[in-house]
Amino acid sequence: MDEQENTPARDTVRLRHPHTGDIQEVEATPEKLVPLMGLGYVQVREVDE
Amino acid sequence: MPARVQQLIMGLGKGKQTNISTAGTTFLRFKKLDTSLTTPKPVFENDAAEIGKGHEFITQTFPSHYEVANRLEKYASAEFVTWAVAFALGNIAQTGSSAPYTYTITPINPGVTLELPYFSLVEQVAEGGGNAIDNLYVGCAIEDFTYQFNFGPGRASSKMTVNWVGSGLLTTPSGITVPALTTENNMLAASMSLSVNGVDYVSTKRILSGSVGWKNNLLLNAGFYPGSGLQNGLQVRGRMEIGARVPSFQFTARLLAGSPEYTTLVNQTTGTATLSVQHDANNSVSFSFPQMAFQVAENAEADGIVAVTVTGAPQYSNSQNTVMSVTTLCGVTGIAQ
Repeated sequence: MDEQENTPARDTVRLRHPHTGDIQEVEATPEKLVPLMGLGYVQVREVDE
Repeated sequence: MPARVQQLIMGLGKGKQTNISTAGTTFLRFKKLDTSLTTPKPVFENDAAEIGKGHEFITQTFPSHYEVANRLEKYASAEFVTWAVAFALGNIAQTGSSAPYTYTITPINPGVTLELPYFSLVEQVAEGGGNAIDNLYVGCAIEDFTYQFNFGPGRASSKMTVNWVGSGLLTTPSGITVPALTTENNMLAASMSLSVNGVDYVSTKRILSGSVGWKNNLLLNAGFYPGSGLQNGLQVRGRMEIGARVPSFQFTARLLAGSPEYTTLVNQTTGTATLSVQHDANNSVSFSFPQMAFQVAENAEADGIVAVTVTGAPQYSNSQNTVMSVTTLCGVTGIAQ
């Protein structure tokens, strides 16, 4: 398998709202991620930071 | 010398394109079941209907636009389902520093964007030392997917079908070296768990077949906007935006005394619906509807056994801020990233 260059190696995920710029760092579980992603938050990748 | 369709080499863009017109550079090579080959279709208008010629026949043709679209029908592997759902729903969070990687996928929020991630797709068919087909389709988006499960043995018990549409942008020859076939981990329906509105349909051995679907209703005509671009004098799309999206969920289960489907329908009871399939602990897919009502419950028959076919009505959940989410686990990293 190829290794990805920009995947954060941690148990939390940083999400950012593209319009407001608000950043949320949440547990890497669907329960925490889905409600924010549904609002439009997108994962902040290492290359974006 | 003719070429056999089995010679098809198909690469699906792994990473999302940076924009609709910039080709992706990483590909996943997959097998598929259907024998359809994609055709770049240049569309031409003519003047047959115009008056003043003295007759009703064509005297002239005019270049119009490119149409590119095709389908992919496959046994459902964790890798392909992840790819299809990621590009179809559009908002993806990938976690895990090593395989297996977890993908949490939700539909894009139209308040943020109307455009899904675009992917590239390459098809090559070797013939006579060259290629009968060697096309790279750039700026493609998924129109719909359907995950289907059925009773019965083997991989056919769990399939995934995707319809995709291209912008019309095309590179021939592709110039792409497609990698080796992706190792796929197929998820048989025998591994399934299904819970709908509090009813476990697997433990009661009632479930027979069903499907989960998503349709983006892409606004294809709006892609040909003034300035969208030309290729060989024919218009190409400069965008493909989502229309009114439609999630779907249907299942057929054996009908027993006290089966709750009709009551759930009449009372319009809502609850969660979760369908999960897996190959093993490292390769799985879970479709989740946070708020499911029933729209139709129809008595049916399957293999001579009385059954009920339920068509669900997935509802938007104000607590989950979505109508559907999908969580997958697979060994491929960087899908739609």
